[in-house]
Amino acid sequence: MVNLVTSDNESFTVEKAVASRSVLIKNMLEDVGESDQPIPLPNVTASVLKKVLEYCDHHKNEPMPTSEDLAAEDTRKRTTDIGEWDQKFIQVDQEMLFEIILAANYLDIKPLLDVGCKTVANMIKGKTPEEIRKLFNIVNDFTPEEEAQIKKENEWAEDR
Amino acid sequence: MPHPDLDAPGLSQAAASTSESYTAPIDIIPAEILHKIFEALDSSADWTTPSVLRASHVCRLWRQLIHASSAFWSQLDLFTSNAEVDLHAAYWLDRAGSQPLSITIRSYRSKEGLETVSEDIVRVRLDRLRGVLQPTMARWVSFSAIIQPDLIESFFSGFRGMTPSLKSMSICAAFWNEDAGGDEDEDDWNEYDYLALPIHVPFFGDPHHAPGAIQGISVRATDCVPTFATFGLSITDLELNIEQGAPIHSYTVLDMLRTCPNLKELVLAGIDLIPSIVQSENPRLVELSQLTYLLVDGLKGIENVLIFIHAPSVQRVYHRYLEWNDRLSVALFQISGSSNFIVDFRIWPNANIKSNNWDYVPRFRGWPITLGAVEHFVVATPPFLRLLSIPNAHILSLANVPFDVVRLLALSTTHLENATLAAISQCPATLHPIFIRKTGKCRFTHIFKYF
Repeated sequence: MVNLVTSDNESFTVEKAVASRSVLIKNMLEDVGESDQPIPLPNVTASVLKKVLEYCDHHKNEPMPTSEDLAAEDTRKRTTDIGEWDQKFIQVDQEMLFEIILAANYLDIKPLLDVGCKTVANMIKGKTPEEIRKLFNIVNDFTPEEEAQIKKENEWAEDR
Repeated sequence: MPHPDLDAPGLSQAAASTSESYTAPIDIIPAEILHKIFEALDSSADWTTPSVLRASHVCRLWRQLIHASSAFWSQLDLFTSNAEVDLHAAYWLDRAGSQPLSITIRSYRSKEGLETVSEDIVRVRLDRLRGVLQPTMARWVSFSAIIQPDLIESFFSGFRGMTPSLKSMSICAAFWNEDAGGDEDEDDWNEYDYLALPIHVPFFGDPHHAPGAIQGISVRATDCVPTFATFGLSITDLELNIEQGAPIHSYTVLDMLRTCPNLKELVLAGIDLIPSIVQSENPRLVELSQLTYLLVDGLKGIENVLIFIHAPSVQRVYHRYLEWNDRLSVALFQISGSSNFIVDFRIWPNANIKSNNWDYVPRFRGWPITLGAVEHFVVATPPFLRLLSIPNAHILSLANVPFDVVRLLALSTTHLENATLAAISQCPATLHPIFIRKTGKCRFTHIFKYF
């Protein structure tokens, strides 16, 4: 078993197979060897780690993606398809969604990071810039010159 | 680790500084992860504006990130309905850096609100566009163009250069995008009377390629018959679709094939409503020594081409919507007789032309024809079948043939594993014992209803 300690000082004891879905933790365990020492995760809160561990537990028996898999994924056409369980898992509020993405990036859990990025991409897909701004509470900070160039880009590439 | 494309000064830090100004949850996302999100977005099929372009219109940070990443600008989707199509291309190419390019040129993105412009105006737009694209030819990975028939020849003939990276190419002579075909009214169709022009594509292959090292380019030509410069030596897959237009001479098609001597797969397709390929005087034989796959799909008059093709390595021959005539039977005889490697041979006559087609007796010189390597065999023309021996056939599919033909073919092979028989006529009162032994594993469909 592995003991993980979050930024808000909460401890999680999990199977090694679950914790090792994180390449960061896996490498730490390999470096430290057999040890009862808790592993500190200063960039992850308890509520987020709980969610991340739920993902890791569900996928613990799947083979880890190899560097060849990752390279192949980069070269072939990516899709925004997400598995059924992952879709349900990632149905969280925006704040949690972005926290999970950050945690997946920090903990180096590539499949979870992909699920998060695809989810955000799916949220953006098919929406106008104004709808996207509203969805994510983003301020339109373009200068008039940039607005003029955007108009031109739309004339070239939008439906007409 | 930051994405290599995000090395523009300050971009990686831009997201963080933004997060100090606003409290939106997405503000905590660093630039490299935003980039991953845009990559996922870039792959999404969206029939409207490219999703990443729309994302670049959301805020300055997103715009900076997207504009700094050359990968998002490597696919150019250009429309000749756009009066500034050349500026559009130049804008994208500026941002694409040295990325390999995929270029698509179409008439318009959407027909809604489309203004009809004269041919001269489109010609000027295409000339200007060619001027922008020409210097980038070496980076083209795929190139697809739908150009109106009167302009396609001049558009392509103006390009001169090496295309060493090109893997696929599609050329279509049409007034409208392919997806609009079914919606055109009759007046539009009348304009197609003079299509299927021969056009020359003066692209040159990679001069550094070792002799014999075929690059493997796939080309699809619709309603035009292209010939190629040395680029043709690298073409291994060629599909010719003639869907509209006037009769074309067989030498036009043969000239095209002659410029692609290393073809491995050849598809010749058309629809039966159009005028056919007409016979030319004394065309020269075309040697396609690498060809392994030949599919003819309903192209009328194709026998005037097939009869001049020598394909000694062909392994798979398919002919759909065939209409028998003496010249075609000679052509098929030559093709099937010139290769010892045919493993799959399938012929389907045009079911709409019953008379003279199903009962036609092909004029073969010397028979039976032995297709020694054939494993899969599907032919639905009884007289043709009577002339064949297929000693190594594993799969036999026969329809609308008399029982004696079934028996003849089943007896000619000792390897039969699966036979599908439909609508077999003139069956004897009891099944022939040899037939039963041969088809121990066979699947019967309608045969019994004829007993």
